[in-house]
Amino acid sequence: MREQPLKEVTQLIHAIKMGLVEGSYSITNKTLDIFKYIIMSKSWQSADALMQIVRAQSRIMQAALPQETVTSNIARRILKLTREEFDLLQAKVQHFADDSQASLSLHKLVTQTSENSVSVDYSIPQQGLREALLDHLQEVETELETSSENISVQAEEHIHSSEIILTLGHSRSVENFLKRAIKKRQFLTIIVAECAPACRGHNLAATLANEKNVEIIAIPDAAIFAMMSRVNKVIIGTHSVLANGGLRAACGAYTVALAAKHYSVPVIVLAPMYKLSPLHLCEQDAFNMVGCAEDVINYDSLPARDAKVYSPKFDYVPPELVTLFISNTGGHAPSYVYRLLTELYHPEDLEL
Amino acid sequence: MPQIKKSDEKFDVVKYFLQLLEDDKDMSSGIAAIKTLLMILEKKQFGTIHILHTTMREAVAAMRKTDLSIAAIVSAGELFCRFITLSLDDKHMEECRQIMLNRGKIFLTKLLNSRQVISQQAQRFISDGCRILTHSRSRVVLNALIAASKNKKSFHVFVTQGGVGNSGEEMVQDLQAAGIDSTLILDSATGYVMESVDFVMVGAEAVVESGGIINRIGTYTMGLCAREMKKPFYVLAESFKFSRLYPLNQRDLPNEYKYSRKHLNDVSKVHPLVDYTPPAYITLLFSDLGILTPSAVSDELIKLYM
Amino acid sequence: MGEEQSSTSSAAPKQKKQRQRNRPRNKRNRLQDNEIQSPNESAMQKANSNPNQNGAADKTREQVMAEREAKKQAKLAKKQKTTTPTAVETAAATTKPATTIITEVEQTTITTKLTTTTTTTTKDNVVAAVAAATSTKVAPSSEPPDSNTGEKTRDQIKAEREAKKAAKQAAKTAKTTGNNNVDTVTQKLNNLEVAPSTAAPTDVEKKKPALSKAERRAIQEAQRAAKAQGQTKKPNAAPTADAKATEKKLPSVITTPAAAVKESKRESESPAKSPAKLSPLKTERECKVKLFNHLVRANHDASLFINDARVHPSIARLGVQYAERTIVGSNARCIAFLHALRQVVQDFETPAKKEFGRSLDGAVKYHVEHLNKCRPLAVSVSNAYKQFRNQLTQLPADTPETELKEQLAHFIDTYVENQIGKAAQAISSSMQEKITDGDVLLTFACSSLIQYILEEAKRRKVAFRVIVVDSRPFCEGQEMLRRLHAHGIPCTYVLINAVSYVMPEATKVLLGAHALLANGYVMARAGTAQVALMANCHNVPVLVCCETHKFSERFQTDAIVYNELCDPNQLVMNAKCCLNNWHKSRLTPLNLSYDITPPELVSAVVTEVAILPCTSVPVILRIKPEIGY
Repeated sequence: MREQPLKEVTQLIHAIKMGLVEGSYSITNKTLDIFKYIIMSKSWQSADALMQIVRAQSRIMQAALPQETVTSNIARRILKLTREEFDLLQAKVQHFADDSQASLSLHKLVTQTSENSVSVDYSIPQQGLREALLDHLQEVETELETSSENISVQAEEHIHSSEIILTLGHSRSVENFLKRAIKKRQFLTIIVAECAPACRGHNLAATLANEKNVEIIAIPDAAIFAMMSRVNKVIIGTHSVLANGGLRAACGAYTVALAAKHYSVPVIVLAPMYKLSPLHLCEQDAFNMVGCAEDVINYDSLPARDAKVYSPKFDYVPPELVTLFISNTGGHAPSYVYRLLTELYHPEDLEL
Repeated sequence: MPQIKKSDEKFDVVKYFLQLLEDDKDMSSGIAAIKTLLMILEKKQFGTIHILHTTMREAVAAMRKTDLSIAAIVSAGELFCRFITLSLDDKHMEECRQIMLNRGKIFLTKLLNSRQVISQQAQRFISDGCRILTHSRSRVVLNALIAASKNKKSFHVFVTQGGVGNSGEEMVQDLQAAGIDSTLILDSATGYVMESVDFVMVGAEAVVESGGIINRIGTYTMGLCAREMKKPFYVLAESFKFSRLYPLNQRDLPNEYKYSRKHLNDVSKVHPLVDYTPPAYITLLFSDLGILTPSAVSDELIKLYM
Repeated sequence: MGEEQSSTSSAAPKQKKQRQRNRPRNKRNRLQDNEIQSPNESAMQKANSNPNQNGAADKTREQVMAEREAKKQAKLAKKQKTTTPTAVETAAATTKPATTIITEVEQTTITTKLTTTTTTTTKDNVVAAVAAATSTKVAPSSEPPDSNTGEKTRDQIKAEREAKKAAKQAAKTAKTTGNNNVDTVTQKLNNLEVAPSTAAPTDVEKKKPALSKAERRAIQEAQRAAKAQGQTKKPNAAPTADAKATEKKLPSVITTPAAAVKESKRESESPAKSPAKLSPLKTERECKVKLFNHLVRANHDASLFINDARVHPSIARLGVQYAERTIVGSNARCIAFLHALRQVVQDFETPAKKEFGRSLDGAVKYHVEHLNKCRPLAVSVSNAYKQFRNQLTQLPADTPETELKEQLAHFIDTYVENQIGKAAQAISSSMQEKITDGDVLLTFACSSLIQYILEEAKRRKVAFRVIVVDSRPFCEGQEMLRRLHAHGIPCTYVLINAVSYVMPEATKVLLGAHALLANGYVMARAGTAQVALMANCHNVPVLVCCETHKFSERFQTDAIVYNELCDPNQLVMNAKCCLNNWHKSRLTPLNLSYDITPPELVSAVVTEVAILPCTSVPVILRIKPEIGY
């Protein structure tokens, strides 16, 4: 049987597709709202039932918006929360020995006592689960709200004065981070690659230019390599972080990272926790998205008639090109992303 | 499982172990080692824990003396010893034995299932129409490729001969039997073929603490080539192959890993059987614990042994 | 100059700056006074030491205000003018009001400025200023410092107080009055020699810059330097429409510049002024980015290359075409240069009692410098120039001039044929072996050589397709796309940041080059290095096609030491773009022309000599000593 999407879910999908809701942050926020609504208003009797609803809805969103991984991420978060709260409540009731190691490991493989110890029966109705969940969701919401600020406060730890920083396009986290850096450090030079065809880099450059004591240089994408020889640090945002520590970032990020590698410039990626997705780069088709080619070349121009024109939105950046991730909880090496993921999501929820 | 005469008190570890491998060609020596050890646990009576430990160690040592490459035996043996340690409580010896036997069975079934789990994980990475390079014969890789073929994916596999012996040829025969396009290439053609393949998929004899692997000689070369050509290098390995070893380079690898038993006295003129591929050359490790980055291996081992 | 200009646009710290800057000028004036009006000098010093100097300071402040006012009006006037540009040249009747406003406003700004300096002016000037302003209210403001300082310093103070009030009014009323002002100026203009240009015809639009120049000459010399830009700019705003019209004609001329030489000189002159219309935005010639302070952007100031009689019209026009980027690409630039050079040689007349070779050398040198001012010379052009000079030095002394000219013309023709034409053929034929069925060739921006190679491959009926990678702001790839499409070559088009998306498909990367440096680095259109980097990452071979006439002896390891800065305004996308007001903020768009690709990213360089590794560039330079010294 095919699940029917909720009215709210359809609305959100529509809004995202029409570009009314933009940016990972607002999409995450809106998705969280929907799940909150589901928890509050839907008549579910057990944790299992709730999890099924959440899974079904997030599957719909995933199918409709394959490139917006944050919706699935937040669904996974909620599933994990449900499990945790349920286990906690169960433990209270039955003094159940809490098996803290949820994920599969060698240790567990060796020590497990029974075949079915992994699966807990979530179908038992549990009192107080709704309230506990809503409480916990509040925490997630605050975390979401403060994530950008928590990232930007780390600016001082990473930027010294008179530094030349290169960034690409326009990311909200990067904007806040750099603003903070400009306030705290003197004589910064910030080079912004425009990220054609949308040229959102111009917005960032214009915004940062309002700050004092800073030099902003806007460059076309073609000059990234030429400028990189003078750059001290590359700071970019990302669309999502993949399971191996690689990035799915704005188109052009790969070039930036490669050029940085060529000149041994550290690449710092700002990624709040909700952008961590337990996905691997293997389904190429779902990975990228091709945008409107009109921005690249006018439809009515003569050469455009017979040429194939692509305007991809994303770039895959392999983990070896990333030096450091800065999330709202601190800095992480790309090789440590797997660990963050196991803490963030339940292994059974990796496949929704 | 080969029949062991109940009356035979003198249980010949090595014989049983070799018998296991003989009977099932597809069995990994690691699995066989664990089975053997479990059998010992079942057959013999142990007065104290100490005796149990020494018996186990002796058994492992005996198995190491066989002509097989020892990496998997060592890691499996260690894992089993750890298993015993973690299972032991303050309870009575006999009670403990029962618990151990029970757990051991679960443990074994999990391990036996691991190849299926791994090949399941690898499915998404084998896309239709891709070209894969693999080194010699690996049962896990074979398993994964056959599973992919059953999923109606068509792809081409290049198999290296894999040094001495005809393991590469066997692999090609197995693949062709399963209806998979495959080409046998010389080991020395790795660099040439690398340009045209999409990714490399190899098995491993052992996964060491650094996240690197020990595998049949030539794997390191393949890793180097893959890195140079920027091709993904995937390793398929069951979790019992995770071993607490930290080789720094090829020279640092213990001789008993590199050479067969009979050559150990004088290794100056013999060719090593395995080499060590550092983690930097490995893109991902597919194990029954999940798809891991090389850095996660150490994490797993820390959790188990600390 | 640029500094002065920018300070007038930013109003805040003007007062202080002005006085500071006036100081040296005062000195210079004093020197002049020594020569011309020695009795005035002592009086002036008295005035300087006068206790009432406070008043004078006040007054100057007041006058600065007046000056500001006047400048505002000047701007207004300019705006008004640009609305009726066509009228300027067509009807003299309509021209008058427009010009009167401008010249009059200039007059007021100049006179007010004069007073701020509180120095005595040259007699010549006093006459001019007084004569011009007797009937206007500008008079009181200009008079006290000019004439009265001589004897009555105390009277001056009183006069100054009046002048304070008057100065404001003067500026306001200036607009309505001043018809006779213009008359006097124009009269004077007739007396004075109109610029030294003999070749320039005296039509209306030509006269205007000359008029301002003459006017300036009449006024103090010291001020001229400072004011030059501001003034030339204003009258130059007028002929824009005309310039535009001629501009549109230009592109058709590109390929055969020699053919169009005989067109009227007016045409070659008028576009020369058109860059001036852009100048309000690019007042500062130096780049704001600290890293690029050493690079001076090509000068678009019209005053540099109009009215220069010594520049041959064909070179003058070429200069404009360089500056406006109607001729781009190092091959096209080289060919156009050689054609223009041939024209110069043809039209050259040896001055009396001079040697042909030497004097021609001097003339050509001057022309090349002129071109360099318009846009830094391409390596191909400077190499061709070096060759030409080399040829000049080897000319026999006893041969008649016409024969020598013929020889030089022949040399130029063979250079074009061999170094560019035949080289392209040779490169193309060796490249044909590398292009096979099923190839996907990736190329960046637009290169005439690559285009030639691809067309040849298409003629050979090879089944291949092309990926054209392009970058903002030049979007030269669209031109490439158009040309390839005209030959029926299937194309894919992406922007440079999407190059990672298409690179897996590509089997070869073909790149053009601006120059090959002696250390093996490839200097090419900005973005080339990125494409090569990405190709390397995907193990796609990178072939750089470059004729040996583009080889350079220079060594360079980054793209910053030597580069060319283009107009930063090209980065601004449209009226809604956030970069629009960049020159008012801390933001600087940076538009680099070239970058350099390290040799390790290049698989091979294809030259007419052979297919070589990058590292063999010095070898070629050695075995072909005629290039690149």
